[in-house]
Amino acid sequence: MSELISLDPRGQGKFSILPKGSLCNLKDCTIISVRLSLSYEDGSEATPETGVYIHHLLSFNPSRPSINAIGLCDVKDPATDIGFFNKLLPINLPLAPFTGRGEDGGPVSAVFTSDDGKYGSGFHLGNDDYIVVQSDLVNYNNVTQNVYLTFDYEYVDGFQGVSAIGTLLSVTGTFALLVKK
Amino acid sequence: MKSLAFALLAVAANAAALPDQRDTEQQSAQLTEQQLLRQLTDPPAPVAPWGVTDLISGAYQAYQYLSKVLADAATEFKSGTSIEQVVDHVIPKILPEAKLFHREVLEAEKKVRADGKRAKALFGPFVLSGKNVSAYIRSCELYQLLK
Repeated sequence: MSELISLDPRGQGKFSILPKGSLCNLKDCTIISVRLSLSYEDGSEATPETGVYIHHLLSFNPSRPSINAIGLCDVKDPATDIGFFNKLLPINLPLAPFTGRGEDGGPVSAVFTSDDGKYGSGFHLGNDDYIVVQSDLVNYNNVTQNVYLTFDYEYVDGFQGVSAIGTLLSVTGTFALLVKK
Repeated sequence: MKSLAFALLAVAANAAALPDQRDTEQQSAQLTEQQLLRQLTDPPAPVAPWGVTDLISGAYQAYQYLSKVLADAATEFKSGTSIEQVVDHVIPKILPEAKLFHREVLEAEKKVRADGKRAKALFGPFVLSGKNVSAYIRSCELYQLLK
């Protein structure tokens, strides 16, 4: 893991990539839902009770474009929205946001379709795609701890339905962006 | 990426506004108990655990390395190569791979789609050091010693 700057005074920032095809057995797949967490080697979850705090975990698929039709912030002028990254990035770099997690995320999965799963969409993950993970974790213990990035997910084989991505939204409102494919 | 940008901005601001960490430690040692007490009741802004010199040196080294990787990629690829192909080539050279530690298919009763498959995959290990103690925590410990 590559050491990175942390946003927490006691945090430890890292960047890493997941081996290609590791989530879906070296096949193309469509992720329906996913939850990120941290585990120990025996599979038990690393939590604040065990001295580990997730400041944030973010993951991206740099092999596919990010096409986001939704602004991030509650602003009148889209030009002032920090979501302009969502427009600039796909022009310059392929970087489809996958999923993320903060300690306040709880036992909730990100779902890339409707709650009942009837809408035909999901996060398209190719067998040759990388997943980049940016993590900012806090160890409140004075001893070194080994933790494992854990993906608990549901998927179907192949690319199915419309390609969906994850995004952040302001709780106070948002707006639609004009997307040109 | 946004998070990274914010992190870089936050650290740059921290580094510019605050003295070198070594200076901070020397100043902490000279603080009176009253000053420490005031710090505890009105905690100071978190101090980045690195100095300006380290930051500039690290950024320069990263810049040099990235420049080399991109230059190599540019000579290796012919015109018409997609940005996806270039990114695919560059990423493993600048980011380390987290090994797949364990993957298992789950017999989960709760699924979004009836035809969906549930699985769990663990990657790592991520080694979290136990020695990353901030200047604020150190000042609290110092206060406890002086008390």
